[in-house]
Amino acid sequence: MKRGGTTKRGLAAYLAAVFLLSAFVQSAPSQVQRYGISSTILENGLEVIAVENHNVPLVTITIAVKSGACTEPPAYDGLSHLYEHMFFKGNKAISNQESYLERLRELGVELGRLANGSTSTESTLYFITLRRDYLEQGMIFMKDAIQSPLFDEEELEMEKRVVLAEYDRAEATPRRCLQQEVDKRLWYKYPWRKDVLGDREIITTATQDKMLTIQKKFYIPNNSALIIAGDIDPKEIFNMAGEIFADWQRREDPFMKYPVPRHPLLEEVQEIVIVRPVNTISILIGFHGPSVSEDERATYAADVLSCILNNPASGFQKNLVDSGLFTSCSVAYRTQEYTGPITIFARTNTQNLNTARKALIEEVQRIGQEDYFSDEGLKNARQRLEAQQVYDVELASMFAYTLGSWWCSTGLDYYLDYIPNVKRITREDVEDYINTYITGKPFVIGVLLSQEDKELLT
Amino acid sequence: MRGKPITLLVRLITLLMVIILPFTSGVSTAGCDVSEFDIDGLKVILKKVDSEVTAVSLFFKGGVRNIDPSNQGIEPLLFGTAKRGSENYPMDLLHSELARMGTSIFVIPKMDFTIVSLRCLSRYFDESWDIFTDVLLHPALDEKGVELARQELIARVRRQKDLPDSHVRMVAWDLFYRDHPYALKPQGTESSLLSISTADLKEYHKNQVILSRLLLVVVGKVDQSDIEDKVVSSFGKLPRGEYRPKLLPEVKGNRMPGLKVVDRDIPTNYICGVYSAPGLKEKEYYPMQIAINILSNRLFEEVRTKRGLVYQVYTSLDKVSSNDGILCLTTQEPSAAMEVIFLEVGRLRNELVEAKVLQDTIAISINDYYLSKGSVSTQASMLGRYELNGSGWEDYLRIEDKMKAVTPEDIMEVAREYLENINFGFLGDPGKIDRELFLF
Repeated sequence: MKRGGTTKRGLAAYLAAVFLLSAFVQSAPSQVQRYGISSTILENGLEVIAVENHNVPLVTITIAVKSGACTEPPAYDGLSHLYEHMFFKGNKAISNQESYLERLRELGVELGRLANGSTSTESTLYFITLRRDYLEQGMIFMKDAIQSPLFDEEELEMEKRVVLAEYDRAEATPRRCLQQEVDKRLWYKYPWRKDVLGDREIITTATQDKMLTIQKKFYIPNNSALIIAGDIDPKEIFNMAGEIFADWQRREDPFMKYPVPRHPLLEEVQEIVIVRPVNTISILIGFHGPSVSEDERATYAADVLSCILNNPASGFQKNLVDSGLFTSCSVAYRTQEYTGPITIFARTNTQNLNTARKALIEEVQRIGQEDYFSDEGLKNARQRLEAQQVYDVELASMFAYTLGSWWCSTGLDYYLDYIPNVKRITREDVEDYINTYITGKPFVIGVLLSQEDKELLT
Repeated sequence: MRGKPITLLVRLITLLMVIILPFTSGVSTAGCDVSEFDIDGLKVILKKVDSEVTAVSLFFKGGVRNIDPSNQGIEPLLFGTAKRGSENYPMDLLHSELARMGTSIFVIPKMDFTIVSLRCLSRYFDESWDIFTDVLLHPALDEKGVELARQELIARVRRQKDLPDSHVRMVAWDLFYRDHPYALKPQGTESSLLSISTADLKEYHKNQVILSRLLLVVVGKVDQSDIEDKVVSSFGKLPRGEYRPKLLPEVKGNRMPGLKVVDRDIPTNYICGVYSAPGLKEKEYYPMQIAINILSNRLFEEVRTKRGLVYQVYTSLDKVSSNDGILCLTTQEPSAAMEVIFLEVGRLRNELVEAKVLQDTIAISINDYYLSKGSVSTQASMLGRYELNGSGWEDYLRIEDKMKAVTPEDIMEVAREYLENINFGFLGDPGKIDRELFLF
């Protein structure tokens, strides 16, 4: 599935449908799918996803935009994130942030757990959770914020300070330092396209014009999804969304006009040592994993393998953690359109440092050996992933957010078909994935330790 | 009932359904199907919901009351080891089964109790319960398992100091709760964890895992009769015991403003303050909750939005029995930020909040409460907390009414009573602070 070219399953059936949900809604009625999810696409290209969950009388309105670090050229390094902060400032309907916060309070919302935003490598998400009675007002509030931000110079200057303060916090966290150093080498040609926080200088010198450029390129309906989860009636949602967001103008697909370059393969193994005043030793290994549109099947296999290896009963955990070499070791793959990273993160102590590091590298290379994992381990991993999706769906507010993140990197169909596809993953698929992305492939390994421990490193 | 097989009790209950009514109190609050019942000293709270997920929280009462400096961390070490294998579920089988069903078991040590919780798909509840209770009641506790669990906990303790957020909070906490039982660490210290032997764990399990020390909360698609049968067949052989929680000394009134500075070379400064607060049992709890939400909102607006002095600033209320609130921020300009913060604290103490501000904040707080009710795991955890640290689990279902009853006068009263004598921890560049400013 190509990014920006999302096709909806059963479109022909949609077109054959007789009635229209609303004058503003495309002639494709929604289709209720798994987990109470139904969706439709407005004429302007905005995908509206409704998730029914009547556990509590709340609704969460999320807007997901395919924007983020992956879209940034060097001169915009970190500005998707700054833009996200500016969403919570003045717009044409609400003149400044003080009025904005006041309006939020009137809706029974405050920034934090009930309203927030986040920027990632491939997505920027905004959400508010409010009482069901305020649904329409909440939707209008979100429409004004997404369609008509003012980027007032004074507010922009103030928010730069806040973003730089966030930057400082991240730099004070040892794990972030390790991650950043590994990422610089893993994504060596375009590191800024994987670094959400970006460059201090670029943030400091950001202008209103740059914000407007981002808005024009990415903040358009055909590059966004509106996800509404909670105590809702989907039909009402589609009608309301059709009316409220009708004047949001479609523009050219930014990913067609400004294609995101692919990260070139790593050429050699690289090792780095980062010294900080820490009490624990952390090791992070990064590989290039699959991209959704280039090798979709491998993305499911990647999740299955991570799940197999993270099970405490797996050979991987027994050899590394039960042996006493590490206190913990986890494997993850992040599903992405532009090269998802495979990461192995482990913690050890001073006594085991050298043995553990060597053992970890050797163990990772053994993953590709025949019968490294059992059929039972494979089956259990598939089932655990299925259960995880049920847990994800339980909390509507969180699910709206999770779904937004998936939508940006994979599209809705990928998520809806995720479990059937995971269930189809065979031993051969997992082995193919290991052979394509892990065994014998270059990687970056970073070790984070104290100065005293560094002196023991051989 | 001591010494008598519980199965007999349940048979009698099943036969005499009329007699069960005074024995098993069913309470229906706001349309929720919650019941509580007692089986030979083990209190059970059950909330029946039609959910694909079922959660169980077993509260092991006591927390810091159960430990001394030498055995801090014994409960997470005991139950952490238990998660590595039990009599009927050796390590491989245990984790294979948990993975097959997508079931998780968590151990959470807190100040007033340790929670061992279970989350599973409702369709696997029977099998998950079987594992959960075997892990709790028949842990293997072999030397190797103990050692691995010990190393994991020690790593976690060390890591706390690596993370500035948790480190500064610990510094403030230790200052505020000096000479109080809360100075003990339920999660353990490096030296206490190293000193606990396998024999200690076995002894602790044998003597302390007793019915009167436990509270069981279940939220999910489960019938009361099913839970009763399950409790009888699993916990039935445990002795009742005579556990009675000790009262903790009051902190309020015994504190002066305080500041502890830790010089650390990091890109920003971390500040965390701890102050006394009313507990869940006290009538001031809900006014305090609203007051703190108003203050948090004002701090965000005044310190971050208007002045750009911080990325993060907030204050929140705890739910421990000797209760407290915390106030945290990170900033490059600690003195400027603290000046504004103390102005806002003073404003809340000296000015009545406007009716609109109060109403909006109550609405926000109620939404936040509903948000917490979205998952069965959170509900199980909260029902247990209100039962143990509050006036009963029913209060958790009445939060909305209690919040709606708060007045501007209540806000001013609790602000004056509690928002003072804050003990601060500071992590960063000591050259950037005016120490006098913190001694508000």
